Amino acid sequence: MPTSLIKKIDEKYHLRHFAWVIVIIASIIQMVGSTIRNVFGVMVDPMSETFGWSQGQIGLGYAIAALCTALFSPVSGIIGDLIGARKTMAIGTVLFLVGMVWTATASSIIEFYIAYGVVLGIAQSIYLVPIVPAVVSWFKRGTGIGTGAMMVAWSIGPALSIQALAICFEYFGWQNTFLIFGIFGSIIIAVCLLFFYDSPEKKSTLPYGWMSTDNKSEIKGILWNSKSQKLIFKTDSFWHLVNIHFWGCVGHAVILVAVIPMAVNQGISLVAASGVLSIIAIASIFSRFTAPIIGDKYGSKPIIFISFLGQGLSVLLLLNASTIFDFYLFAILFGLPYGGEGTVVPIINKQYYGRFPMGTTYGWQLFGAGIGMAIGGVIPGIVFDITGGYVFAIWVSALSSLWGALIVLMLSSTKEMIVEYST
Amino acid sequence: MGEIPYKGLGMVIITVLVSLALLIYIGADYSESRIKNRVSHGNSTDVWWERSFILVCPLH
Repeated sequence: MPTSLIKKIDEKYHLRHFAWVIVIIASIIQMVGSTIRNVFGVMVDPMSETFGWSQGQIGLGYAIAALCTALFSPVSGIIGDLIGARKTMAIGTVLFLVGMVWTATASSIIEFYIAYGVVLGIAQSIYLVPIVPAVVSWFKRGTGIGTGAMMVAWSIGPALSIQALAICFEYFGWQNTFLIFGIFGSIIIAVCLLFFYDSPEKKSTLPYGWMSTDNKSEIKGILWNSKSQKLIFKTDSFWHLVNIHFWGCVGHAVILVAVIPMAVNQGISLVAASGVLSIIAIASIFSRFTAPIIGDKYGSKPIIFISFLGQGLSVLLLLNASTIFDFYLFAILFGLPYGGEGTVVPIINKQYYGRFPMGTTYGWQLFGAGIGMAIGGVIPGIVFDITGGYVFAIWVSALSSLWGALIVLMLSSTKEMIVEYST
Repeated sequence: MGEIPYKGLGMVIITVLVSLALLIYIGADYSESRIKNRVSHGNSTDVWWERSFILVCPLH
């Protein structure tokens, strides 16, 4: 890259500001944390071979992990607000290490449920929840580009980790892979946490985008307190956002679980059908990055509405999809709104609630998302068992997203904050 | 700003009720198909959760 271009980018985005170090650290932690969920698809067969457990028994471990992540999300958020994201993630790293090593050495299905389902499920919620509000707190302006850059890790992380895991499984076996990823992942996160600060105030610096004309009282650290949090709970938009997360996740969980079987059901080969998920992932990278930037600049409500509407309407294409072209076209049209749907939420939180610590609020929103993912994930299988097809599941997905879009319209305007904190 | 966020909580309650209704309907449908499948194979085993779903669902 020519030095003049780097200089121009540096002038525009202040690349030496510590906020970017925080974004990089958050992205790495998100990538390592994503291993917990992504490892599952590759470990079913080896575990089944080792212990003779059925796919259903192992699948229950995934369901327990998903449920624990969802149920523990509000708790992770509260802990993050009380003791700070850094200390919370240090606890999460201990849990991650214990969970990975325990899963590797588990010899009974109950041990597996506790190690993978409960311990790693909780570790995942700790990696997902407090880090996002911490990153947002580092930005006074330009929150969109900071959040967008971090959210891209959600797409790239799985793509990289799943390949690395598959290769390690092949060479070292699944138990050693768990040990390797557990130990190295924990070391990487521990090193990252050494350089991590919960907020600019804790590093005695100013947030990214701070201007001399800004209100100086904001420079003093904004501490979490239950009185201000109750003010947030008393806004309709807080509940709408939990609800919107739920419906959005039901909408895409159905598709993410069922789109490959749907394509295979139409006579498309498994390899070609797998490409649908890859295209969704690639298309979503673009919108994960751009949606927070647009939301930050022009208001988050329209971008969330368009994303939900797009997600709901694009799913209807599957009703008549029969060729690989139909499925790939669907993947692009679905992947774009799917990527933009949830990534704007940290931005809208900031537009509504300012720089008040957002862990508890975001934790409740991810609780809605987690429950939605769990319910949406089981619908296609049951529907297929009953009806022998996926039409009903497609309608459930489409209507969930469209209902979510309707609730988005009920959100307050993002032009100004909707709470007034007493000082 | 009101003391109780009626609209927000109201929509959450609607979500819970719709989800429960959907769960009961799909659960009852699934139970019915499982029972029919067993009966066609000459098996009349009674499973408590299948019976419960069908009992609770007004459409089955």
